[in-house]
Amino acid sequence: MAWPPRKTRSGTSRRARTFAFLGRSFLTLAIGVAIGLLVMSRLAPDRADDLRGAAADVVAPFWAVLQVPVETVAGIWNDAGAYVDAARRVQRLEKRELLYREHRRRYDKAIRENAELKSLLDVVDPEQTRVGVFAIAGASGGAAARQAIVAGGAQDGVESGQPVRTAAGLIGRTVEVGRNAARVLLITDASSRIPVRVVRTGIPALLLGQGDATVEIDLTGPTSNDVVLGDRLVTSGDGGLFAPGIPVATVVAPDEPRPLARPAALPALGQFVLVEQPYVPPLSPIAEDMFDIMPEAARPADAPLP
Amino acid sequence: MTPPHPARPWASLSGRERAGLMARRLLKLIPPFLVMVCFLLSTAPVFLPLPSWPNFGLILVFLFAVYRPGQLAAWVAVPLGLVADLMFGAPFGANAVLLPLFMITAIWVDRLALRVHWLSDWLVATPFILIYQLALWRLCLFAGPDLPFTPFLTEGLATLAAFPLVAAIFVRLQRRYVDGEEDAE
Repeated sequence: MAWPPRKTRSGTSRRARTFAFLGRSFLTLAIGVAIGLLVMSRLAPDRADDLRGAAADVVAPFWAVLQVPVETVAGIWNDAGAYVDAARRVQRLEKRELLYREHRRRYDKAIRENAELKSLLDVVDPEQTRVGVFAIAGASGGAAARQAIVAGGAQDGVESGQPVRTAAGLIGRTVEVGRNAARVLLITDASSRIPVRVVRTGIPALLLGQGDATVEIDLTGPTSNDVVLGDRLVTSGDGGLFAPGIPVATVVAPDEPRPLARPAALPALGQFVLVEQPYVPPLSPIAEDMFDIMPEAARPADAPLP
Repeated sequence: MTPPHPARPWASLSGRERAGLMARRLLKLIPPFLVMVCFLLSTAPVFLPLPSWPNFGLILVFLFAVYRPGQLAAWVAVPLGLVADLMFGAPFGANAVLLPLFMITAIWVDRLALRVHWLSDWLVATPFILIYQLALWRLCLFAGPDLPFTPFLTEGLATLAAFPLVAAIFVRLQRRYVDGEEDAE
């Protein structure tokens, strides 16, 4: 029951009624402004980016201070979860261990082969310059977006559109940057699109976030749906931004119309992430070779045709 | 310190009484500030497979609308909604549209209903919060990319699960600190 008890209309004075009317008008006006803003955010979604960056600045220090207790609580939760169904899980893990031992043997072999082949081809690894290593200091609570907040902003050199990763794999990319904090669009966000490659087959694909725990794989072309359970996906480097070869996800449901994968790296509180400069695909050497292969391409545009 | 009688003219007040009155006006900022702190609590860096961290601010707004409508005006929900949009990454204006409508409806329904038990408040809150999540989802679809409804549903259920706790703390704080103050005025 509301307290103090609400007044009934019959007993109120003219002045009180006027105030109530003014209050209602102001409320209607405020809701009207809000609707206007919503329509505007449909037409120009980037307009609030600076404000969002500033909001990240507010959120990050708060959670940075509370990091220790929250991390402890989260740890207790995880420990408790580990006891549930422990026996069956151990059995499953032991079986999986056998499988992995075989995988590891093949992997070691592949690494040796790869090192040899690379030295033969004289492949230059695109050396990614790192912007910095920052702690995760918040999230975009709520279901509308899947974002993390990292404790590094414009004054640390972070800019919008930089890849963010851990040793385990790709986390996402920076989207809105404040002074001391930046928002990271996770690969699971519904607006996230990552060009990837299936490691086993080399088929290029597009990874679509869908706002929950898994990501969809969009395999286009005639070799469609050629993925099996456990296939690993790495970034392909197509279109720049993400350097090739960063682990992104593992296929968990290959039989769906659009196969599903689980992200290789998940952000967790207090974890440190690496922010890199955007990857720029090497183009210039190819362009110079073009003139050797096709001499007529070097001809000035206004020269007469033979 | 008891505040001076409201009928006394401003000129007749001593400096100390005037300062006291001004400070008392600042107390009105506490409810919106508390809601903002609750929104901040919901940005905890907890990365679960589906968002299941409660929206504490929404619960608090509901409780203010139902229990103490005089302390938080419905129009204040518009700026509060904008703050929520910025923090949660929702389309700018989505929460700002829904939150005041949410408050008005809650006040209206509360006027119709006669409740006898705290459990009934929880029951009343259930459709409110779930419909809020549904409407938020539609508005997010209107202004942004395609999103599934499941994350919104799980967040709504988590919010409902946290409802009794927040309500108990709210009522206790109101009785302990706020109600006595109002009697003095």
